[in-house]
Amino acid sequence: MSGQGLPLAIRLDVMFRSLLLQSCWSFERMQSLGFACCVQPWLRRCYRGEPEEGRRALARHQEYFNTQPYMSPVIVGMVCALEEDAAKTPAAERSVKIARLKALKTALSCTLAAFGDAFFWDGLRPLCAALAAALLLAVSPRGWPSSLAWPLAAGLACYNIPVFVARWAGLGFGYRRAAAIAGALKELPLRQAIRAVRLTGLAAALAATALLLRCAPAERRLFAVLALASFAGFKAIPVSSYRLYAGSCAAGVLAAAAGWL
Amino acid sequence: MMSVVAAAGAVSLVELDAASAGQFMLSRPIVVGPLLGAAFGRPDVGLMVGIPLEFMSFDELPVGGHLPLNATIAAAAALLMTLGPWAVPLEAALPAGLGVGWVHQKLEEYQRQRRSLLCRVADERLLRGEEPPYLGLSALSLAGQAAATLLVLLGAAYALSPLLHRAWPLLPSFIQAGLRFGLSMAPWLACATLLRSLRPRP
Repeated sequence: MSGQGLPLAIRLDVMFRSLLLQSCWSFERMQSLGFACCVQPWLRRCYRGEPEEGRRALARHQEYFNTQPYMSPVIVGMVCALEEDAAKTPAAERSVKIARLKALKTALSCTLAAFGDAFFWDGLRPLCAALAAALLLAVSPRGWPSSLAWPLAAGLACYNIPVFVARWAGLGFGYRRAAAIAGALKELPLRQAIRAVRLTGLAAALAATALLLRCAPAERRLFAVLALASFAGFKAIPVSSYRLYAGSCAAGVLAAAAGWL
Repeated sequence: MMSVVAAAGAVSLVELDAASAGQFMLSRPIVVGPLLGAAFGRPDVGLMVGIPLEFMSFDELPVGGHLPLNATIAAAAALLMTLGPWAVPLEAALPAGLGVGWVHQKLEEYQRQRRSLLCRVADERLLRGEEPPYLGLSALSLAGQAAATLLVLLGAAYALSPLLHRAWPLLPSFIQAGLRFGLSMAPWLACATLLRSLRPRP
C-alpha cells in the first residue's frame, strides 16, 4: 500500500464503475462481472509489467460475489490495497496473499451485506420515502414544479447524501484499512446507526400516516383508522401487501354483491 | 402533455436505476408516480398511485437473489393506463398495473438467467489473453433491460388499456364497486405496511 490512498483519477473511475456493479447481475455469479469491472483500472496499474498476472487477477474477481451495492466500495478499496500488496510481492510468495485476499473478500461481503441491507434497504429507504410522502401530503401538490419538486428533492437528498458518503468514504476506508478492516469495522457504531435510522423512520411514518388521515374526509376518518388497525393486524402474519390488496378488492366485491356497499 | 411513448421511454431508462445502475432511488414509485402524473397534468393521481405502491413495496427487500414485484413498473403502467388516451378508471388500472409489475419481474428473472452468457464471454476473453470489455457488457445488458421494460410498458398502454377500457363498462356493478373499495383501502394498507416495516425489533 502507498499509505496515501488511491489516486483521484482511479478513485473517480472506480466510483463510476461501482454505479454499474449490478448491471450484469446473474443468478450464476451475481455481481461478479460488476466487481471485476470496478477493480479493472487499479489492477491494470498494479500489474503494469505483468499482463498475464493482471488477467489472472481479473479472473479471480470474476468469481461469485454478492454484497449490498452501497457497501461494495469498501470491499473494492480493500481488494485494491491487497492486490497492490500482492503485486509487489515476489511471484513465488503471492499465493498466500491471494488466498488471504479471497477469504477476506468473502467474509467482508457477507458482513457488509447484512449491515447494508438493514441500514439502507430496511431503514433509510422507508425513512426517506415516509419523509417525502409527509412533505408531499403537507403541501397538497397542485402541480409541477411548484409544490412537487422540493418534497421529492428533500427525500432524494436525505437518501443520497448518506449513500454517497458511504460509497466515497467507504472506498478510501477499505483501501486504508486493508487487511485490518474487520477490526476497524468492529469499532464503528453500526448497530446504533441502524437503530437510530429506524426510529427516525418510524417517527416520519407516523407523521405521514397522520397527514394522510388529515387528508381523508372527516366522516371517513374513523373508518380509515379502523382499516389501518385491521391491516396492521393482518401484517402480523407473513402475507404480502399485494395479496392483502387483492384480498381487500375481493372483500369489496363480496360486500357489494351482498348489498353492503 | 407528454405522449405515452415518450413517457414509457423515460420510465424504461429511469427503471434501470432500480437495481442495475446507480440506485439513486430515482426509480421509486414515490418519485416516478408524482412526476409521471405531473407530466400528464394530474400530479394528484400520480400521488394516489405512487405513495401506496412505494409503501407496499417495503414488504420485500431486494436482498440476495430475491427479485420483488417491480413496483416502479406497476406504478408507471397503472398511470399510463389511467392517464393515457383510453382513460382506464384507476380502480381497474391499479390491479392491472400490479399484474404488469409481476410480468416484468418474471421477465427480469429470465434476463438475469440469460446474463450467465455474459460471464461466459468474459471467461473466454480472459482465456484468449484479452481483457474482457466489462463496460461494453454492462451497456449491452442495460440496453436489453431497457428495451424489455419499454416493450412491457407499451404493451400495457396499447394492448391492455384498450381491453380494459372496453371491458370496464361490461363488468357487473358489484365488481366495479368492489375494486373501488380496494382502491380506497390502498392508502391504509400502505401505511400499515410502512409502520410494520419500521417497527422496533429486538
